[in-house]
Amino acid sequence: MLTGWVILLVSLAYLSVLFAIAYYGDKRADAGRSLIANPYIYALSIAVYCTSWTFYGSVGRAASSGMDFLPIYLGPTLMFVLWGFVLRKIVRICKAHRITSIADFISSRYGKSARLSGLATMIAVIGIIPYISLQLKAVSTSFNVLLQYPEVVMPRASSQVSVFEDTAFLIALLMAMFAILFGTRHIDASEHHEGMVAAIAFESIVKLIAFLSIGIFVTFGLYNGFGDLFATAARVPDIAALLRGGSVSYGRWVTLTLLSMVAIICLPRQFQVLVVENVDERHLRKAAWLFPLYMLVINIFVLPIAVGGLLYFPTGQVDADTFVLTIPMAERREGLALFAFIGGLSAATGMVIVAAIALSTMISNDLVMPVLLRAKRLRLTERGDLSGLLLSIRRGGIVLILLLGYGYFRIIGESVALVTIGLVSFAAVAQFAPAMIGGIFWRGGTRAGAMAGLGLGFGVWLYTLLLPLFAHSGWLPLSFVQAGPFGIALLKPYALFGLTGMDNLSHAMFWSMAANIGGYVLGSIMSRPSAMERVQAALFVDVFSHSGAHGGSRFWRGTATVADLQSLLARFLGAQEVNRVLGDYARARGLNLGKLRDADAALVSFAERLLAGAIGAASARVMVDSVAKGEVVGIEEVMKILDETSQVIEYSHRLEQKSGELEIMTHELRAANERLKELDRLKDDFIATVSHELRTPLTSIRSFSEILVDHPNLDPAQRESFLRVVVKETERLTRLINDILDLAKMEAGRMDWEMGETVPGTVIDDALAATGSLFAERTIHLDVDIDAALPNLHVDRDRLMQVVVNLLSNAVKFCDGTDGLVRVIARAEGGVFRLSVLDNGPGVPSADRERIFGKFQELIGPAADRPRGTGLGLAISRQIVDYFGGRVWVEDALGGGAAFHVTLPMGGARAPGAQRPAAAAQATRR
Amino acid sequence: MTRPSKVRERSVATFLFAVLALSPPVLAIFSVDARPFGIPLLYFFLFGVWGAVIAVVAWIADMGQRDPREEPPGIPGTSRADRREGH
Repeated sequence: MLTGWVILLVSLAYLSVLFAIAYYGDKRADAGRSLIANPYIYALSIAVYCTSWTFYGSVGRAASSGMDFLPIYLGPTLMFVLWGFVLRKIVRICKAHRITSIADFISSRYGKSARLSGLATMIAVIGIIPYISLQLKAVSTSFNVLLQYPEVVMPRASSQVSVFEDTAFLIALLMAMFAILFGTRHIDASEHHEGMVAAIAFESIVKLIAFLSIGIFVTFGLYNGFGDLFATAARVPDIAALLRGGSVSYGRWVTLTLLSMVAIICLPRQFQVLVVENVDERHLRKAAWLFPLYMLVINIFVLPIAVGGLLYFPTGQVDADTFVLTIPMAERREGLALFAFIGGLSAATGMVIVAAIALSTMISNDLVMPVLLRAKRLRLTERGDLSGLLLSIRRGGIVLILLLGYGYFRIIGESVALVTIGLVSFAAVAQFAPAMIGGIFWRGGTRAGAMAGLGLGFGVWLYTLLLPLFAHSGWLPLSFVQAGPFGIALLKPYALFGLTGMDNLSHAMFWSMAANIGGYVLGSIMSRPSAMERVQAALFVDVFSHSGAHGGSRFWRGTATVADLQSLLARFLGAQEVNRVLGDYARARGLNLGKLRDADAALVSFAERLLAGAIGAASARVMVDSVAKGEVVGIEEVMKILDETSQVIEYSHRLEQKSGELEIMTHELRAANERLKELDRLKDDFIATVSHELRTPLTSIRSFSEILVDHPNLDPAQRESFLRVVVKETERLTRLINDILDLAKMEAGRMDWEMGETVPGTVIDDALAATGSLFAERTIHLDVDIDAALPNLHVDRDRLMQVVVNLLSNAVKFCDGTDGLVRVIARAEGGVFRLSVLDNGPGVPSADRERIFGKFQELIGPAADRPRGTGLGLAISRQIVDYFGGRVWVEDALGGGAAFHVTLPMGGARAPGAQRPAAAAQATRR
Repeated sequence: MTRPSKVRERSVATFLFAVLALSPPVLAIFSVDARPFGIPLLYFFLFGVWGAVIAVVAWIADMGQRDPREEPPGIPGTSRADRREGH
């Protein structure tokens, strides 16, 4: 029953269903009721990742080397875990800039360079051709295998039949037709192909169900479930090894994982469905787990089918790549075998169609158009409607790609396994990764770097993967691989520079990535980006902060007339459409385009982006340049604009800092001012007090002198008594002035100190002797208690004596008038010399205990016995004791009087010398 | 601009976990002849980790949905209404 025409008929019927779905999808889109605007269709369309490589190749891979087939699906899962960082950013960028392909993305990022877009397109086309040929090979092989039914034998190689009899050729033509019909219906500013996406999603369902059916049939039809199948398999030693994971090296596992991680965004068809065909960024959120889930489900039965096939065909006469087909065939399940074939067909067509559309867009927008537009001779920039030309280029591109794929398949495909061919393509598109991923996270990447990286990486890929494949198929002598070109062993493509011990793929990836990333980074660092590159770098890297809405308009300061822009757009997009889009634009901004003559920068930029969606960023640049006068603003200004935001933040940060500093400084200044005012007040007070203190003795001296002058006949006793008063007041005046001078010197740090070893006992004795008359005058009882074993002090002897005399005379002044008692105690305790002078006077109220050490701060006692001191004694004493490094203070004595204490460090605690004046100065600041 | 958010942190943590669990040394531990539930241990582990990672991604994505910062802004010219019809 499974004759050739039945298979063909069913295949054609299936393809007709696809056409119908695509047609319906496009109709719905035209009517504004999109079929694909939901995350489920989106996730299913991403599943175009699972091609016939998955459908047939995975089983083959699992049968030969165990779990080797899995990293290809784990890698994308890992990338989708990070969807919020990478995928979302790429989608957002592409929507903001209307990017329609990988080449466009890379060229756009690096300053809309046409050369870069051309290079990227070349890499994509050359890299993907083997992949397309793989699909053709899979379809052709499966068709031929199925054709042998009911026998299960491997068919003749395709190369032995003529091109026109070859099913692969027919299939290629059919796929080209589909791609042309649904991929190049019209030029669209957003490059959405809703019908195509709907068909792809449908195909994803078909291939999933087909594969699951085979898996369930093998596991539950031939065996009693997983346990039975694996238990049977474990008894065969070779298969048991596969169950333990098989022969997978660490290096290969890691290489495959990394490769597939980047492939999921760098493969042109994945970029197309994932990014370009995305209708709503929010769909990513669900697809982030739906698509990995799809991959998991479709992989569940890979190992069971592989193991089942190995058990079923133990002799190895059946290619493991065809187990999906041959097991049902051998079991005489015609329907199931046919369904498996359809599943494989849908996996292959899905990939080929999307890849062909993606590549043809690249070829037209990023390779051919830039060249045509720049060719002055053609004067294309001045010609009329170009959308027809554009569509023709795309259609031609699709046919070309499929023919190339078919040619590759005829020449090379036969000799190599599915997976190997696929991985060569993966390795090629992985070369985009540094420029893409680097481009969205690193502002410093430049056009020169991207050119160097892409070029070098692609060159190494060509040398280490593609050329050896050519050699294996006879295009090049095999010695090229085995002995190296011209017999140079160091240049052997599978052991470049003597690097051995890796599988071919890991080896190629190592060298190509080293060259690629190295070239990208070095090239970027060594080159100076142009203004346009910087603008684009900033717009890409900071896409989440620069709102996509006003694109690069801030960097553009050219002018064009609205009419010019309108006619330019109309040549690519159609007049009606342009009027509608521009009308929307004007309404949204409250403009009246009819009255507006000159387009502003925003409108020019909008037009450029609109055009970029149709013909690519590089071409759009050229076209807009042809009607707009002006250019991108100078580099300094660009940097200024770019840094505007960061600068504002920087400024406000600095302002904040400055104002903080100012506040602190104001505070300090206010404090200093307060202190100055206080000092000024103190100085005024001091002068007032000094003047007052000086005037009192002067007044009495003057009045007594006048009396003596006016009354020469005074009796001698009276005269002598007056003269004594004059002498006494003069002495007082002298003492006062001496004290003031001392204090001033000490405060200014200009005092001459004669420091030396001093015996404290004798100083106290001398002081007592000097004040002995005071005690005698007032009959005060003196109680002296000096420790006999006092150590020497390193002080100025005279000054210390001054302190003791001060304290003693104070005590005399304040002690009880009738029954005075003064005690003097000197002790050495705890390494400190301590002198205490106690009296039985009224004592010092605790509030005044600091104040009395100030200048002229005598306690106002009962007016009658107001003491007649200079008021500077305690102030001077404090200065002196401070200088000696000691302390003087007052507290209550036992029994109510005042107790003055002086402590001094023993044994020359303070080194004499240079620091003295400073220390003194410090002391004055108290 | 990358804004710190719980969603992002959890995504990175999940990624790191997946990288670790799917690394060859860890897989080597499970490369033995045991067959829990009749399934070879290594594959049981691989699919288990894979499924768990997918579940966590789904959970994180659902969490992020309620975070208004994660939503895209409207970009003129890309909304569905702006799409053109054929000619």
